[in-house]
Amino acid sequence: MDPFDASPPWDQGSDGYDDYGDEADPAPRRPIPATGRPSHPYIAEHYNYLESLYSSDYRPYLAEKILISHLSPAAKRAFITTIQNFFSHTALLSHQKDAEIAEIDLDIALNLLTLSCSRVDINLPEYPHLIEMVRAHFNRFIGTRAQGPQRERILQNRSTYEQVSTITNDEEKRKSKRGLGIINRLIGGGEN
Amino acid sequence: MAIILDTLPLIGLLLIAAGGYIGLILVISEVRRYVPEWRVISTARKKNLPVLAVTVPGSGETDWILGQKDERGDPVFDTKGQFGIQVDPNFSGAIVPDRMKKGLKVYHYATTLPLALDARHCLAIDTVVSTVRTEFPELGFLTNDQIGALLATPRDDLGEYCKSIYQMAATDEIRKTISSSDALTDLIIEAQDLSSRTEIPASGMYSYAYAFKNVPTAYLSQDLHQYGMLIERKVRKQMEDMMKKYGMLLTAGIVIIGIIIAGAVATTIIG
Repeated sequence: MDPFDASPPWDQGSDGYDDYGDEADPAPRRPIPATGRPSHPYIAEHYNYLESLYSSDYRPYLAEKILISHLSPAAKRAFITTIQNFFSHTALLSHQKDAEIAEIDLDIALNLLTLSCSRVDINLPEYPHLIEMVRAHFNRFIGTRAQGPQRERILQNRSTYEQVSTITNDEEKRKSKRGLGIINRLIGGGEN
Repeated sequence: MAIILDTLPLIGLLLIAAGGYIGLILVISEVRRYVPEWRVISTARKKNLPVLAVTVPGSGETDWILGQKDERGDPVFDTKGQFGIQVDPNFSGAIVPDRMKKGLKVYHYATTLPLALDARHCLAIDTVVSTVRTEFPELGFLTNDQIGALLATPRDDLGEYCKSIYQMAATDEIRKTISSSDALTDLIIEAQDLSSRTEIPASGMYSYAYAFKNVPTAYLSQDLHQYGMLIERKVRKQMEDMMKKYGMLLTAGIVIIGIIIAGAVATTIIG
């Protein structure tokens, strides 16, 4: 199967990432990999795997809950816009140097979201619950996927290179155990 | 020269002084007890500052606070954060204050709202609510908040919002009068049209507590206060990070400059 013929995950509409008012042109046939490695011939399964890493599985569920809630249309739009922004691929792929700044940014967005709400909206029991769910989920993934040197996405992407690196090191160790380079060269042992 | 005081005039003098003191104490205690705002009012008149009448929307109780600022030109009053943030009407828009004698201005705020209202707003809110209540008795199942929210909803969102409200609020009894959410939408459109045509009276009885209770905005002065604090926290955090990043470099620079200066001073002294 030609990997570029497979429709990319964001074209399948399964995760809901492009389901809210995005009627732009269809995704390109030869997508730009999100990892920044353009010549890597990913297979579809690998794409799906990466897609799952770069996505929030809770986001479509959250968006659905917002859409079926009793909030006003303006409040729903504000909620959807906010979660589209903070749970986008960009947010998940970005390296947050400081989790506190990311949390403050979300708090500011949630604060300004109130401007689109009516009194009826903020008095609904759904409102504080949704706000808290957005905050809790965002803080969780910022802590695990977009922050710190051991963050999940880097670990997953580096695994291939780490293995290669380990093999090379083992090879080097084996070579060094056989003795000094010149003597080895003379007796022909270092070339193996 | 010796001053001779007769006993009777002395007693009289003491009695007058004691009477004066007692009178003064009575006046002070009465003022403190029954005019607790006297200091606010006197300072406002003395320094030409406005008074902020901050009303609790639920109970209607009002506190008078001096409208002072941290710095001249601040867009908000410094009320020590006790009721969130109150925006100066000079920045927020045309608000007509209550004008008292000798130039005392009173602006009306709620404990929950960052923006002031004046008499015209109160009359407008009262007129809209009472008109809808009088002309559309079938909307009696909706709260004032719901009426306000629906009247403020744009027409293209109205159908969806009415559907949601109808699902929430319409009981079986209501469904007999208003058969569907579309019927509710039609009534709200009619109410919007009527409200836009209804003239607001130039004068009349009004209540700030009622107006603050029914104003449709949900953004509280506490929200605005929180917004300001979040921005401040973010800036402080960024500054701290920058200091951590460049702090060592700065310290090393200061030490090097210190050594150079000390060396120069020592050379001058020795030379």
